[in-house]
Amino acid sequence: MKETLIITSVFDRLSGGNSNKKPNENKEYTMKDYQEMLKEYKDAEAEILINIATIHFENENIPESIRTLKKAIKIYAEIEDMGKQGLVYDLMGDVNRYNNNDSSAIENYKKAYKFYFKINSDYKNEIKEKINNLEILESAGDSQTSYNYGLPSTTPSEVPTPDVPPSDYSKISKKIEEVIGILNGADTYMSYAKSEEPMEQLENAYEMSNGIGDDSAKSTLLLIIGYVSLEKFKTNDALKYFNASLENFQEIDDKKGEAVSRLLIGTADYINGDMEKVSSNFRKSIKILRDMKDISGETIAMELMNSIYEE
Amino acid sequence: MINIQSGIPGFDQLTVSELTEGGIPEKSTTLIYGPPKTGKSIFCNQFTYNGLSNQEPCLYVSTDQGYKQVQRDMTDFQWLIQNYIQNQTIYFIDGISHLSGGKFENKNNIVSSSVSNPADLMVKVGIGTRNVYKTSNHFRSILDSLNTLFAFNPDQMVIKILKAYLRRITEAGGTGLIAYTEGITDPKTENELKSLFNNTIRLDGQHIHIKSDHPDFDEVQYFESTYTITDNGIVVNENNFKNIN
Repeated sequence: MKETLIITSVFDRLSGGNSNKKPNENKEYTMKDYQEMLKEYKDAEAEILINIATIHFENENIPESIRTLKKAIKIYAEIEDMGKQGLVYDLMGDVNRYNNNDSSAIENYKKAYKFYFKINSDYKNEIKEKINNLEILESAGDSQTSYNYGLPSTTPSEVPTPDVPPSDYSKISKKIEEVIGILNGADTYMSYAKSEEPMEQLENAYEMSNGIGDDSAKSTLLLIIGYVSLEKFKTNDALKYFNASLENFQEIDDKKGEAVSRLLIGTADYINGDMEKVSSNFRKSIKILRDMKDISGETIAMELMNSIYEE
Repeated sequence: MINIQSGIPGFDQLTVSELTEGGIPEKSTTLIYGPPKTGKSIFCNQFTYNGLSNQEPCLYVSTDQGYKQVQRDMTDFQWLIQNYIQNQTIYFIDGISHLSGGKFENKNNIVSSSVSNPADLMVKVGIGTRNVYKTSNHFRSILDSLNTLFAFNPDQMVIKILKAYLRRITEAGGTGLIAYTEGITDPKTENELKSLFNNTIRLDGQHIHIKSDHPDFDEVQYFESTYTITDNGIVVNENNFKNIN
């Protein structure tokens, strides 16, 4: 339907402009008018190509999606639209990123950044962040090992080890809250963690969720109880709760819950200085979120990783 | 056994028998059910207002409408509850406004929860029960209705939620009235649901059927009549009383 509408709109333009206006048959067009019209048609053609590329992407035909986007870039280069060139490179980066081709994605994003930078686009900071996130993942060995999901790692971790113990836990803590917030209903239960007697409230809620068979809430509450323990630097207690939560989420086949549990386990491992486990859990988590195409979840997860590796 | 006034004209007279003086048995649980738009919520609100007017506090859990809408609906029948909100005779748990994404300002006795977060809802019921119990160990509790809970949660989880809810309010001395629209779940779950209550009231738009199976009695009691929804709420028609015992 979307395609039909777009194509109709192009034919409207070819038949003399906006469909609401009657073509002005008596108007004499100058060279400049024709050049502008030509530019407009080319712009429309590129837009259609982007839409086609999107459909290829949704149908998981990645090579065709990339080929079509490249055609769109050529047109935008011809009409010298730097903003749109940046946009299409940005899209190509996204497509490659979801195809686990991180190095190509970084290359695309860098090209997009150049264009955005030249026109001082607001998107330049966003693209910079995408580049940083992917580079961190690459340095953590994500792209090489993501297909080994589930297999025990026998090679030494390539994750950069922080030089000092966490000096600014509050920064990590804030990110942990955001990560937990990915889960449905977590914001409500997080409010218990802010109450005067958080553990009492959380344990009460946990018992209630257990009693009524609300397994999802039960697992989320375990994560939050672990988070409260982590805030008190009871890291081993926190790990115990995070692992119990992971087990529960796996039992009910809640992938997002599993991803969040692994992020928190990774964070606790980091505080314990167990960097190999940090890398393994973060990689598995990112892989799950990526497979789920949960863009915002992945972004939040990467921000947590950033705050740890940048410590 | 003590019965409390229902606040529904004709209802208390209809339920008089050799065993009871009529009304709704105190500390019992009642399911009010029937097809849509037959007056179940009106019955709940009328029962609530009658209690408030008699200094009986109320724990009101609304999962179908936000508390402001419930208040407006009650105002349509001249059941003005603003004073009871202010003096905290009513404790309101709004289980639906949160889902619509609107801003909700929690007050001491008006709190937000969500039908999609049943554990939180039950935690709030626990707090609310303690709150009204502090005012009086005779209170009324409304849950209007189970429909949205069934829409957001697996049937068996709703049954567990309901069991926990009924246990909590009866242990604290409350009299519970819970609304449910017929046909929302499968017949098996519906039968299981009905079996959890001491009393059931079925409204079909014309007739009211009451079944009372209180543990204090050896036999189940049945009553029926016709009813009308008037500008003043539900009125049970006294000319058509039937005691089928």
